Amino acid sequence: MDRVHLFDRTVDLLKKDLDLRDERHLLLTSNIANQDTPGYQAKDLSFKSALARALGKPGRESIDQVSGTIQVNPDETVGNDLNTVNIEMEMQKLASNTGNYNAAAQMVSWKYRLLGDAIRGNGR
Amino acid sequence: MAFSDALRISAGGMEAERVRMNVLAGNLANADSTHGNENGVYERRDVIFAAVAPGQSFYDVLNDQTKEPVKEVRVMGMIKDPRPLKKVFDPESPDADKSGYVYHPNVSKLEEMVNLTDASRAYEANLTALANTKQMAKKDLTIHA
Repeated sequence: MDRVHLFDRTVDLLKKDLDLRDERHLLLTSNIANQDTPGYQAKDLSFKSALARALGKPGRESIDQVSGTIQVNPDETVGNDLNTVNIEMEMQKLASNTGNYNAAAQMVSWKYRLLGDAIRGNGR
Repeated sequence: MAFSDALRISAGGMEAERVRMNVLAGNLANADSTHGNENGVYERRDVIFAAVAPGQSFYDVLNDQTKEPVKEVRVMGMIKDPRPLKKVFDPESPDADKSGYVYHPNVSKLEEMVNLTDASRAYEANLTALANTKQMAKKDLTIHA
């Protein structure tokens, strides 16, 4: 028997987005903590094109299987201690990642509220 | 859960910068601690930071064994600055040796101030990351129908 799905693929997409942003947040946090560590190489997680590709295919599995690609030295800045963290870029990425994470979480919340409204049969 | 890892990494970053600030403050405080012979003079200190995967041992750090991309920062040790001490001719000083020379620490106040500002800003960046993590974790709790 096929799995019963309460939602369309949007919730799967949002769930995957939250997972990947969580993973990226950890990498950005690690870059910020190591901004003064000699020889440390900055890392970032890219998943935008992989997610877009998965959305183009039918079915839910394609979204589930998306995983991010870790990039080393995304900004190609090297200081004289071979540290490649560009702190301004990292802070910008951190802010935008947090913002997008909160937005996705908010959208999941709205999806659940819609379901609740449909069950109760009242338009709030 | 990843959030607790993120919190620990940011807190570790703050701890490392705080240790660095303590050492730098010590340098600044002793910038004028003169002495009559070379051996007793304060030597500038600095900390060594290393990126380690959470739960990684010192042996692994030396051999770069792990492929784990997420790294914490840890203070691996303290070194004395090998730069030469300053020898100043100052026969009036109570610390002057027989030939009238006084030894000053190899500390530059200007340099220490620059490093202190750097450490303080780095501390703030970690604090911002910590606040972001908290906000994300809080947002998760608002997901309900």
